[in-house]
Amino acid sequence: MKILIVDDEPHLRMLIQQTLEELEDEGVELLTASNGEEALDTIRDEQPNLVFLDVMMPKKNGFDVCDATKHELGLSNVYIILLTAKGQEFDRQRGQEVGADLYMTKPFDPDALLEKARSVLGI
Amino acid sequence: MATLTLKALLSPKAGAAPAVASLIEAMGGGTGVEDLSGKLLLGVSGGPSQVPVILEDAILGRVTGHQSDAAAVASLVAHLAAKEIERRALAAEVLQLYREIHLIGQLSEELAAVLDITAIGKSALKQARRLIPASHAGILVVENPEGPLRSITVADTDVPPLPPDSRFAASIAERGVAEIVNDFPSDPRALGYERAMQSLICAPLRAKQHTSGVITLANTTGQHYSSAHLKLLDTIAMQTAAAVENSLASQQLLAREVERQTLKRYLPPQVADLILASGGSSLLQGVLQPITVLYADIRGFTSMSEKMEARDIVQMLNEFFTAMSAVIFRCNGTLDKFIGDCIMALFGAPIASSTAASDGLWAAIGMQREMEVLNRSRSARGLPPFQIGIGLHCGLAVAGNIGSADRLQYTAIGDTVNVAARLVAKAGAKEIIVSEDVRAGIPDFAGFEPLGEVELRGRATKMNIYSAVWAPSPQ
Repeated sequence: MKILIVDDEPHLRMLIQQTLEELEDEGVELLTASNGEEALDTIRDEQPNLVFLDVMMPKKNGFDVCDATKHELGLSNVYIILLTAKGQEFDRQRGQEVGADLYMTKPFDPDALLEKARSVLGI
Repeated sequence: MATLTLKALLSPKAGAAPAVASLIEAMGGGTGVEDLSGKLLLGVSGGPSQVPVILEDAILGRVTGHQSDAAAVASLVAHLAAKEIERRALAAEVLQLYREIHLIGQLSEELAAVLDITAIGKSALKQARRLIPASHAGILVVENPEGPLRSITVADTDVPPLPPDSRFAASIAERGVAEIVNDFPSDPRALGYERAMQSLICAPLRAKQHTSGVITLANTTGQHYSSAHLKLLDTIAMQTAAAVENSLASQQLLAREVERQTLKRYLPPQVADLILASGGSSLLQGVLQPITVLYADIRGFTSMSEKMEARDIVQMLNEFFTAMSAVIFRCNGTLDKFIGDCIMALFGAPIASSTAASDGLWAAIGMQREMEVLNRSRSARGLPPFQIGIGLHCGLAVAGNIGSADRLQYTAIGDTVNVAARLVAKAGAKEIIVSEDVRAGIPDFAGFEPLGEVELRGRATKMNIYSAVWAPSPQ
């Protein structure tokens, strides 16, 4: 099983990776990407089970990556969680249109994030 | 923390792989890195020598190849593994800080939304237990500065880790310094059932230099608490203290306002404020004091009310009582009660006054004048006028809150009160009848006309009474 973490901020990537680290012991591979294009390449090549996807990113934003994954690549079974900054206006409608499965706010609650990952992966 | 494997360290996506691969290449190939199971991760296998990759006495895998090449690659891999371990430790530490910041932020948000002290305690304990392991958790607060500790919230278990009479909790509250005790049963302050707690961590709820209680997390198993736990609980305690402080302050304000509203129903507003400022209703315990009692009632009320609708009677009385109360308050009087169509008021109580008798007299005159205003207003509305008679007497009486705990009323009792009631019975329409004692108490009022000696029901001796003549107010 694979989880992809996409965020242009290295600290956030590291924090999410660290939060999910204990899943490595259960055979989960953690992948990271620092922008939308890299994320889409990884999704295509690795077909992760779960993607934590930052919305606000340079080049391709999270909405576009989600849209491409679910519609162009047809990978509707990839569970995508959009990460939005707290206090920033979030376009829920757009989130629905691009087929996001869930959204969570940053700063994130590490316990909630880990729990969600476990439930999506069924472990 | 997940254990570091060579597979993870040298996976194609990891940062370490290119460095090792380029070293192997620079050595001309022939070297390979294998994991513990012998699976080739990088380079080629089958070299003549094997060198283990050792990190902190543990073998992570081995490097095959010529002895010197293999040794060099093994040492590079071990170095990179050590770096990776270090990076992970740092990341774990940063994540822990992030968790703490997130938790403190969440607690702030939660606390800002509640004023109820139990809800505050619940939020604080819930957040504290997310990062500090505990089998028992509880908060004790002191509601007033001299008062005892009281348990407000207990998490999950029925019993608080420390009971309200805990000597340990008291010592933390008193010193205002958080403490960790990792062998609690042997602490000399531990008493009774609280000694079931093997370890505990207790922080004072400090706000504005004083302590409003303590928050305690404890374990009946051998949990060892660290200074990091203490620091976190102390931070949570400070936030909680501010919220508890707000909650207690608002409760006090509310109670004060309720009391003020109650007092204002029968006391002039300035007297109500004075009583609140000097300790509240407890000052209203019965005391024997010199007072002036005023009775006023409507002449011919019974025959008048027989011809009226009940609703009109109520309306008339309400208008009458409202107008008369205002006059009484203006003359520093205390409204004792309304009895049917009768008003009873006190002067010189609850706060003793040297002008009680003249205040009472001026209130009586003010009420008669106010009746003229009221009657003009009534006739303009096509309503019949009505008149009142007033009786006034002064002397010693017991004044204070009298009644049962649920229904206390500020009132005066004693012979002085009875005499005033007898006097009002002698007063005709627009009349003010006063006793000898009242007249003697107001030597500079020239309008007393003697009515001679009269017998009052229930009294052995006759009494001189007077009519106070009053001039109508100019129209």
